[in-house]
Parts: sequence; C-alpha cells; structure tokens
Amino acid sequence: MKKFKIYGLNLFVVLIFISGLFISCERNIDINLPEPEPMLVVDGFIDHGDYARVTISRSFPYFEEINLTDISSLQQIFVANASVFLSDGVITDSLVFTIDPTSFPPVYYKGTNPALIGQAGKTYYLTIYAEGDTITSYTTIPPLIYLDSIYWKPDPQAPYKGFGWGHLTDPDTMGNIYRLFTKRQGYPYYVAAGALSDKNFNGTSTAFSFSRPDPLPFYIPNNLPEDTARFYFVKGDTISVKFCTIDYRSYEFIRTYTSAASSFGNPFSAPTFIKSNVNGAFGGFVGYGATYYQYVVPQ
Amino acid sequence: MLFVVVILVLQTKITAQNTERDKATVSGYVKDKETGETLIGANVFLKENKKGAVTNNYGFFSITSEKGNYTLVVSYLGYKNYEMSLDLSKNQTVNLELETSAITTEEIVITDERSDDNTQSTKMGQIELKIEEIKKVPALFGEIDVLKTIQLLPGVKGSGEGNSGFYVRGGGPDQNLILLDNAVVYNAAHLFGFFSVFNSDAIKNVNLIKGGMPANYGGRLSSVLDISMKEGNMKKFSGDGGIGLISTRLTFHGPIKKEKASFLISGRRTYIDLLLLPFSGEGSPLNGNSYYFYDLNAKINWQITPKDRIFVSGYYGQDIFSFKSPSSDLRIDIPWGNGIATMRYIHTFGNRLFMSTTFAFTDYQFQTKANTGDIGFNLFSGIRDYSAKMDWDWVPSSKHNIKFGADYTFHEFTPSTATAQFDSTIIEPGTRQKILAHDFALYVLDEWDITPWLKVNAGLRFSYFQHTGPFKRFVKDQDGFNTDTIEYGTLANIADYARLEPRLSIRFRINENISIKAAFTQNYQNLHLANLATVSLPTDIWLPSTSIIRPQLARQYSLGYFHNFLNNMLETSVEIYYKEMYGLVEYKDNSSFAQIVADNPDNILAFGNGRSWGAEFFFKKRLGKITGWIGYTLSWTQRYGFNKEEINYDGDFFYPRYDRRHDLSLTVSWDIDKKKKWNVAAVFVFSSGNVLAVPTRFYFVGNTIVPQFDDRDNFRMQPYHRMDLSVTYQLHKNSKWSSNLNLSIYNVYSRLNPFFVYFDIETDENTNTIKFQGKQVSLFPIIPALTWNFSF
Repeated sequence: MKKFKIYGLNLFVVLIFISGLFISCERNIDINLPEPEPMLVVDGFIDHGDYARVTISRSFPYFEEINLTDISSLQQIFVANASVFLSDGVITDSLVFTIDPTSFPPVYYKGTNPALIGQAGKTYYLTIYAEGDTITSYTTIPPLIYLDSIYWKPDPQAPYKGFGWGHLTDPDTMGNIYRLFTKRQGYPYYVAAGALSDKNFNGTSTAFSFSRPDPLPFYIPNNLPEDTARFYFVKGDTISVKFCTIDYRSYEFIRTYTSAASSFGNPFSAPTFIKSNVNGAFGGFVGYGATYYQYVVPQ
Repeated sequence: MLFVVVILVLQTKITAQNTERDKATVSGYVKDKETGETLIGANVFLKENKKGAVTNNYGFFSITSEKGNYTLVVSYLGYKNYEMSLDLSKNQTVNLELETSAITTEEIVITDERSDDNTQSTKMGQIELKIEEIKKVPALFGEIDVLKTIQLLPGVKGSGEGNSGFYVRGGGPDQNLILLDNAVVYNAAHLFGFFSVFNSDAIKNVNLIKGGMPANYGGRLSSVLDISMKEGNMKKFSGDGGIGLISTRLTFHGPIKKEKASFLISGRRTYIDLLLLPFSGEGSPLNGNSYYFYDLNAKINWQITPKDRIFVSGYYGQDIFSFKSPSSDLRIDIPWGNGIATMRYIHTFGNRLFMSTTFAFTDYQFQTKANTGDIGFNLFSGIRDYSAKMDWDWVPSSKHNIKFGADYTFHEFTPSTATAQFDSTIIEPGTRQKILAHDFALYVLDEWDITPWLKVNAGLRFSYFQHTGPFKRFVKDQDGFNTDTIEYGTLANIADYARLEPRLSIRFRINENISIKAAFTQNYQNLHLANLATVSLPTDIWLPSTSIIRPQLARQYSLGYFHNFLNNMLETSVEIYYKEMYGLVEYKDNSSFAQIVADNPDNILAFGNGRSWGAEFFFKKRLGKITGWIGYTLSWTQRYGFNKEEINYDGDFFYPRYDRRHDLSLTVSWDIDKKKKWNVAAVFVFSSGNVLAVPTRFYFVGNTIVPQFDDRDNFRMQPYHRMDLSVTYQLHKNSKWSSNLNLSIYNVYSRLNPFFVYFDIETDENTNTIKFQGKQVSLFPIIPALTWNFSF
C-alpha cells in the first residue's frame, strides 16, 4: 500500500527541488469564487459485527475559516436533527443521534437494533431525511478475508522506528478490495492507512507495509511534542490493525476522495473528481468486512 | 492513391512537353562563400521576368523559363545580393556563393526586390527563423533557445514560466511534430522543460508550420517545427563556443577534404551541479542532490559528385537528476534522454528532379527509481523509431513544382513498466510490455502558378497505421477488473487505420504587395500523449493508436491577408482560423501511473473533441538598424464531448490549459552603430492567465478534509507578462577570430508571474481554526546572465 504513496511523493519532491534550484518565491493570493450552496455530506459505515454509524455534516465554501472546537461552529458543521433509517431489505431501524468525544467525528447516528448488526455478505440500505432533502445509499459487506500475520520491521538507518507490515494471501477470484485502518496504543480510534484492489496481485501471497497515519485531520507540529518518528511505529508500540474487505462502489468513493484530499492543487497530480455512492448528498456509505489484529513491537 | 499520383504526374508531363522546346532550366545550390554551408530559403530569380524559386532544405533550387538572356539574382537576409548574367539557351547547373554583408543591411534594401515570399508563396501560418535572428533574442540564463523563441510568434503559446514546451492554435504539446534533420524528437526538453535540447551553435535554420501544412508533412494535428543542423565548414577549420552562467558549449567544424567533405561536432554541458558542490557537503540539505544535462551533436557531410551528397548526423543528450531526502532515507534517481541518428542521401536527376532519402533512428528513454529503506519503486518508459523516407522534388515546368514521397516508420513503445519492491517481495507485473506499430504514408502535392494572380498548393496524403503484435490485451469488466486476456502473436494486425488527408492552400495576388490566402487542411495523428499532471513532464507517456485509441483528426480552415510595405522591408499579415479536433486523449480523472501496472495504458484514457478559433496579427521589420516583430493572438480553445463520468466538467465544454485569450509578444533588436559593435535587444510578452480547477467546497469524511471540485476551469490565474533585455558588445571581429560579450536580463522588472497555485491548510493553534489559503509560486525574478561567445 506504500507503493502508491511513494510515486505521488516523488513528483512533489521534484517540484520542490526545482523551486529550490531556481530562485522561487511563494505568496498568498486571494481566490474569489461565487459562494456555493452548502451541501449535506454523509459519512457512514457499517462494520461486520457492529452497528452502523452515520455522520451527517455540511460542506463549507473552500476558503472559509472554521473552528473545530467551538460548539457553535460544531453545530454549524454537523446536522443533529435528521431522520436516519437503515434497512437490510427486511428489517428497518431508525438510527439514534449520539455524541462521542472519543471519536472523530464526535457525533453520529448509531444503530440500536441487534438484528441490524453488520453481517458479511449482506446489503444495507440507508435513507436520510434532513433539512428537506431525501438522501439514499446502499452498500454490501463483502465476505471476510483474513491477514496471515502482522509484524514490524526496523528502518535500516534508524532502527528504533519502522513501518508496520502485513502478509496477505489473496484469494483466486479477481476483484477483492481491501482497506486497512491502524492505531497505536493510547489513540481511541482507528485511522485509515490506505485502500487497494487486488488488480495487480490477484491470487498471490504478498507482504505490504503501512505507515502510522496522523490521528487528526490536520497536523499542528507546534502543539505536539517533537515527533521524529512521524509516520512510523517505534519499539514498545502496540500496533492495532483493522483489516477490511470493501465493495467496488465503496472503493471508488474512497480512492477518489483520498486522492482529492492529498492533492491540494499539487500541479503534478491528476485532476480529481469524487465518485460518491450516495444520492442527494456528497460523501459515502461503506460496508466493511472487518477483522482485527494486534502486534506488540518488541523493545 | 497511387493512381492519383500517376494521373497527376502524367498530366503535368503532357502539358510540360508541349512547351518544352522553348524553355530551359537553371538549377543549383546556394551556399555561404566563407563556409560552404548551404543556405535554406534563399530567393533565386530572373530579374527580367521575376520567375524564381526558394532554395529547399538542402539549398537547392530549380527555375524553368523561356530561353533567353537573363540576370540571375539571389537575395538572402544578411548576405550581399548576388547577380550574374545568364544565357539560358540550354539547361544548366550553377553553384552560387553569397558573401555576408558586414555593413548594416539598409543600403541593400533598394536592390532586394524579390524578398516578397510573404505575399508571393502559398505558404500560410509558416514562419522561418534563421539562427542569427534567434541568437539576438534575450534568453533566460543567457541560454539561447529555439523553442522559447518560437513561442514569441503569433499562434504559439508557451506552456509555462521559463518552459520550452509550446501549444499551437489550441493543440496540445503532443500535436507538434519536431524534426531535427528529418528525425522525430519526442521530448525536446531538458530539466522538466526549462531548456530545449537544441544547442544553438549546431543549428542553422528553424521552420515553423502552424497552419496550411503541406502534404509532405503529416502525423501531427497542429504544427511542424523543422530544424536543420549546420553542415560544417567546407573551406576551413573553425569553431564556435560560449561560456555562460549555467553552461558551456563548444563546436568544431571544418573540411575533411576541402570543398568535398566536412564535419561538425558540438557539445554543451550545464554545471549547476558543480556550482552547488561547495554548498552540498555532509549535513547540507543539498547533500546527495545533483542535476546536470549534456548534449552532443555531430554531422558529416560528403559531396560525392556535384549531383550526389550524403549527410550523417546524430544527437545524443541526457539529463541526470538525483535527489536524497535530508530527513529520511528516501532516494530518487531520474535519468532520461534522447538519441537520434539520421543518414541522408540526396541526388539530382538532370536540372528538374531532386531526390532525398532518409534513414532515421530515434530513441527516447525515461526512468524513475525511488528507494526508501525496504521499499523501492522503478518506472521505465521509452520510444524507439526506425524510419525510412523518400522525398522527390520535381519542377516539370515553370508553372509547377511537384513534390511526392513515401515514409515508413516502425514504432516500438514501452509505455510504462513499473516494478515495486517491498522487503524481499518484488512485484514485477509481467515483462515490459511493448507496443509495436507500423506507420506508413504516401503524399503528392503540386504548387501550381495557374495565372500570375492565382497560385494553388494542392496535396493529398494517405496514411496507414497498424498496431501489430505481439501484444497482450487485458479485457475488463465494468468495474475495471481484468476478466480475460487476449494474446496476439507476432505480426498480428490488432488494429489498423487507413486515412486520407487532403490539403489545399490558395494565394490570390491583389497587386505587387498584397495577397489574400486561404487554406484547408485535414490531418490525422496516430501517436498520442496524455498529460497526467497539469504540467508537462518527461514522465508523460506516448501511445500509438490501438483498438481503443482511434486516430486524432483535425480540420483547419484559415484565411489570411498579407501586405508588404516599403520594398518588402515591412511584412504584415492577419490570419484567422478555425480548427476542429476529434479523438483527443486525456487521462481519466483520478488516474495514476500505478494503474498502468498489469494493465494496458489505453484503458485509463478518456476521449473527446476540441475546437479552437482566433485571429493572429503579425508585423515584422526585416531590414534596417532596428529589426523585430510584434505578434498578437486573440483566440479561444475549448474541449467538449468527453464522458463526464471520466472527465468532470460543468456545462457543454471546458477551457483546457491551452486556452489563452490574449497573447502579445514584441521583439526588437537594434544595431546601434554602423560597425555593429553594440546591439541591444528587448522582448516583451503578455498573455492571459492559465485556467485552473479550484475546489469550491470542502467537507469532512472521517478524519480527512475533502475538497470538492465542480469544474475544471473555474479559475484563471493572473496574466503573465515579462520584459527581457540584452546587450551585446563585439569585442573582436576579424576573419580569424571574433568574440562578443552578451548581458541578458530576464524579467527586467521582476514580475512575479504565477508558475503554479496550490492550497495549504493554515491552522491557528490558539483558536483551533483551520482555513485554506491559496498560494502562488513564482519561479524567476530578475535574472541577469553574462555570456562570452567566440568563434574562430
């Protein structure tokens, strides 16, 4: 999964090198665009073995400043008065608004009916009524596929740190798609580390590495202690991994929104266009065939 | 097709025979007296009846006229006019040698009666530049650059700050056919486009065709840039060179056997890496970083008999780039380069038939190697062409100039092969899959003086392109997963396209100084280049037409008004054009090179159409102390008809980055004193800003901030403008040794032009707020450069 990052990174590095090689200059510019209509955004998922969770939020004009801790702006970001229904085609359940400060986003609608706990192989339908809009989506949790193992390998130059590694034997059928989440001890929730289809390694046994993602949507170096091991796991860490299978529509959504999020106008990246699997709003609804792993990096 | 050729040839032969008895032909070569170098584009004519010709790429001309006594005149910019009396009672060959004019050209103007190619020929959208004109233009870092100079012409737009890439009349960079001594150059740039591969000391002449492309050229939709290398001094050993801010160049040329055979060898190397060496010691952020490029040009020219001549020429150039991250063990190496070799044989049959045969080989390779710890990534792409070409130039009568020929190229593409290595696992998805293709063309054209006021250039080109095996096609389901593969054997015909390309241009002469021209061209293109990023990179991959990619088609209609003033001292023209293009290629949104692994690269392309229209104004002062030109273009370029699931845009069309509403350039060169000791030159350019996709909204998905793009062209960057100046002082000038000092100042008023714009999240740790900020990166402020040039 690391493979994909390296290439994007290297062109950006080249760009920085060129800018440095010549005498370049950077300055802030104002970009005035017509104010867009705010749109609703669905960020929903259902794990195998867990209740569905759906966050509904609003989009903001791209150059608007927002506050992430202020209650009034949180109220502006998140929608609390929606009606959210989940169905497996037989049973329908209404999801309940929940506030959970240990999670990000800290608010979501959560399932309560044990009959609608996610099950691999089943398709789930989502219907939302919010602010006069009707939003629909569906997703399928694919069959579970287990990792052979997870482990850690020291960086040859700095052996106190290293990437996490996994070993996977991909089944013979083409079209399996995986998404990996990880966290280190002390963090309350899993953070996504990448999504990958088996297009290039169908039916093979493969080792892959994963880095430790930043836990927050933005990174404020001044607020955190000096972190020389950013992106790495260090000796003594407990690496937790949530390894998931996802369906193709979910993958297209994840692939396109993560690519958009990492481009930031980087002129070396391709234009991005997010392929939502939701009708009537931005965002996505993803079913995860989730399995869990843990590895303690020896001291 | 052959049938058409035969009919045309026979017909002209019959008409020619009727009047043959009363006519005779004079033919020959026009050369520089001092060096023996042939002169391209010189005007040769009979003073009495103004019948004449322009020398071709080999300096050859042929004029047929009624028998009688004439004065033969040759005129060529920068040379003294040549006159000789000619008894044209029988066919004859003459070799004419012109002397350079040491004095200011003003006095010569009076006798320069036949420099009216601008209004006389059927040429439209064609501009010829001599290397001497190019050398007068101020240059970035003092590096004279052919490709940057042609960007100063109307209808040609530069691809970005300091970049040698160019767009012609709304076409992409892949739609320009760049030829060096008849061989195709695929990536004509060094250092990600900042310098072109053409070393000005090795170049003689540059001819740009942006519209009204005659039938002897083909394979690209938008333009031809035909560059001829110098042949080398036939008379004495000599050399040129220069020491500049970032590079040094040196050229030697001379006779191998006097008046019979000559050679030229020319080299150039940058030394940015050497200049940075003192600053890149252990611990420096520059440690492990290195960049340089070099070029080598060589040519041998052998006049076997007065009728036979052989040229062998070659180019080899490479860029070496390496990067080492100061904060991690990431290491990147990117070598890329071109190799080109051509062998040409020219022969004249009698006085009226000229033949040239070319064998050419082109090789372009690009590689990226990235390593960090246990993880490695290696990407390779390349193109190799083997081609053979035969061109005939026939002047059957004084009214016809017929050209015909055939062209065959075998293409070998290695579009992109990536290997990745994780720990001990190496992912090598199959062997390097090559794409092979046959590319064949036949053409015939006749430039026909129907009446003194009407001249027509009518031509037809037939092209046949075949994607051939071996090849492995990955068959996809709707989600893009491989469901099957089809294996094609060697020589299998996987896809083929036979196309006809009619070309027509007409000149109506209103009077001595004014003409109106009209042209229609239809072109097909079977080689495609899609840019993954918004800037052109050496990583951009060329692909041939396949069963998925169909040939690109362009139809161009143009109309022009040409007016010369003051005895042809001033040339002016206005051209309007409309160009429609079909089957253009773009990468689908969200594409990445990684997707090409274990796949056919054409599977990630999207196809659509384009159109471009505009008006080009050109004003050129050819002669005098002050020379130069002003070009202004008003144009529109649009793309439409793409599948919106693959390429996201709002409305019926979008403006691609080739769209610039206004484009103005002004070039002036002033010889201050009569002896030409001092020369001052200036360039001013202005063009509308590039279009850019800017996100309109952002939102959260999990812990990620996601930008939402609604359109591809919702923002235009600030306009680009810049002024450059140069001053040249002649230190010495005599027949043995001359040298000059050139001070070039790029961007005199230090305008911070946008190179690119990106968006950065600004966070405030006290208030916990986030905000996106647009950042504009500019590359070059004012940059002075001093270069010492010499020749002996």
